[in-house]
Amino acid sequence: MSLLLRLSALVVCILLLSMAVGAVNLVANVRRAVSDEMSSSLELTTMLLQLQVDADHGREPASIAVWRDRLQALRYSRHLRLSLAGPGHEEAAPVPGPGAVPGVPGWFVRIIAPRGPELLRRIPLGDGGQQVIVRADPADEIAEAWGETRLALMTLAGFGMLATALVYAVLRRAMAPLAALSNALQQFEAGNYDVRLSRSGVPDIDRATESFNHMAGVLSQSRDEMTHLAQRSLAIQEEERRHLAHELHDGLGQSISAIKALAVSIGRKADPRTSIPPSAAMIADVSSSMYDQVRSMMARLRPSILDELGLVSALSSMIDDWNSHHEDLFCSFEHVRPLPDLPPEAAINVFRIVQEALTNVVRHASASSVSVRLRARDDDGGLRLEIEDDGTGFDPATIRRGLGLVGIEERVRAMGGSFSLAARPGTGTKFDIVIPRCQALPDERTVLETQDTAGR
Amino acid sequence: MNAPSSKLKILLVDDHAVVRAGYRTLLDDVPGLEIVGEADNGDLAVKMFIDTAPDVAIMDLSLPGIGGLEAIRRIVQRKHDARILAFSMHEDTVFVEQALQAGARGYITKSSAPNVLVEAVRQIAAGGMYLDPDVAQRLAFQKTRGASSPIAGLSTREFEIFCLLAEGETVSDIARRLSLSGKTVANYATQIKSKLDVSSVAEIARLAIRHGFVKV
Repeated sequence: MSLLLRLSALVVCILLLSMAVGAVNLVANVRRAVSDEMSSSLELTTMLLQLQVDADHGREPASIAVWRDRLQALRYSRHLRLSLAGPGHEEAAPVPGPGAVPGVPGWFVRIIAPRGPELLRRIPLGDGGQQVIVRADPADEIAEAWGETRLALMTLAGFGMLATALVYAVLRRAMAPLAALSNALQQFEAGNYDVRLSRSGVPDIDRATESFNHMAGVLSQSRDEMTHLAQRSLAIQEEERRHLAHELHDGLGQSISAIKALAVSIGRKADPRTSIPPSAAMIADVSSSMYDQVRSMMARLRPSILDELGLVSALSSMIDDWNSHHEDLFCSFEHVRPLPDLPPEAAINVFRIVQEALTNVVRHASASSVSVRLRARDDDGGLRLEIEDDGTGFDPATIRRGLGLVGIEERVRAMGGSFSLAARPGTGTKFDIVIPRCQALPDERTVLETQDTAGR
Repeated sequence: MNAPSSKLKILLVDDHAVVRAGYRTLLDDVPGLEIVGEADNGDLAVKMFIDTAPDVAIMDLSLPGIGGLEAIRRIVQRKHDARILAFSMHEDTVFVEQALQAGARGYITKSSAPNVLVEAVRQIAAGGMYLDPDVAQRLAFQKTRGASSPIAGLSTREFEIFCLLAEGETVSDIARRLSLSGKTVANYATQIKSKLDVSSVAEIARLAIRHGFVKV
């Protein structure tokens, strides 16, 4: 249950409890009031009648008929039933018993109706055995009390509902920043560190909000630093590779080419009867294979075709090459044109990711086929790269991330992209990489040039 | 030619002394050839070409300074009939295309150079063209593909196998010819069929004929 609901429930419980106490109190008061009213009416009437009887004393005693008239005059008195009784007759007015007051629920009557001995007085009228019987009838009083009590109870209930609604609204408002915080934390979990909370005006919560915003700031800054670092280190790595490729080309490659030329030349010049021509041919062959190795090293270090012909050509050429070196493995390559133009850093990153993923397949997957798919994303003009194999797969939770995987992740991060790896033992591995529409990052050179132009 | 001797005059341009030494040794042994000069950068190459008027210049593409391609352009600008053989470590067809566009009459890679250099020099000196056989094949494959046809979506290797399949070669023939495993070629064949949306080799052949890749 949410905190809001819990707090609301708690408040409602307390409210209900105090309302119940109030109601019980109210009913008890009403009951006492009814009881007091009854007895006081009874006593007063009895006293008045007694005074009349005493006044009649000494004079001719009033006849029964006179008393009947007198009582008739009093018949509308509230709460009381008056009747005459004498030997042989009783003119008792029926008194409705408790539990039968019209328009009042029985339970209320049962609670309120005075209990104990019947409220009844007998006033003897002289010696004839005639008497006036005064009985209390609480029905009117109960009906009246019910009217009042009902109003009070309804007011109480109305107030209770209003208070509940108010409490809920206030709590909800007070806790809105908490909901925002929880939402923000969820976004954090999803990797969106740019979310910030606004001030709510509640000091306690604002302190938490400030701490959160500070933490978010620190996190996004360190994420940016990490991305920047990853970009830097990848750029350095690529630069180093380019440099190495250049050295291989300029140094080793040229020398091997020269050795081969010399070997061929020696082979041609030598006396064919000696062992020199075959030896020279051997040197030429060895040079050839060394040369091929250097070339393939160069291609691995810096695929010149990537710079010249672009990503798709570079990938298809690399995958063709890969296929010709792996007899039991086949990599298919699909691309849906048109593909967005990538800045060179991004193109080399995508190229390396595929290269790295294929290396992983050879090393770990024992797969028989791999597919590489490249297409544009319709929504943001970015790029989507999927690499899927049918190998043994692995459990990403248990396996320690190898350098290959870390490298892929780093490159994706450097491009500001996202990366998902679906792998389960026995069902192969699938990389799903999304690269947002890339903006070419200004490198130091262009920044300098811009400043230079601005300074002129 | 305009040379007083009957020997072919050759200008050797490469920024690596060791390479020049190697090829000089190789060419010196060949009767009828004579190295008249060496240059180690593009500017010097242009100057020496004008000065020595060689029958053929052997020109590396990666040169310090103006670079091999620019050197070829400048030479051809001044001497329209200049005969230049580009030789390079690059095997990508794009370099071949650029060298030919700049005005080179031939292109050989450094890996095949020792074996084909002499022949290449002679053909070019005789007014012909010379392309490294591997490179020529790849260039042809790339050139003949129309950009809009479904075949444009094939990789170079796929296109090679497509042509061979269309010519009626079997998977094992192709595997032998391209030094690939039979399985790899079979996989390529499946992928080609799926890319071109055809189901049989016969349809591949029909498609190839319709687009003019295979003569009937």
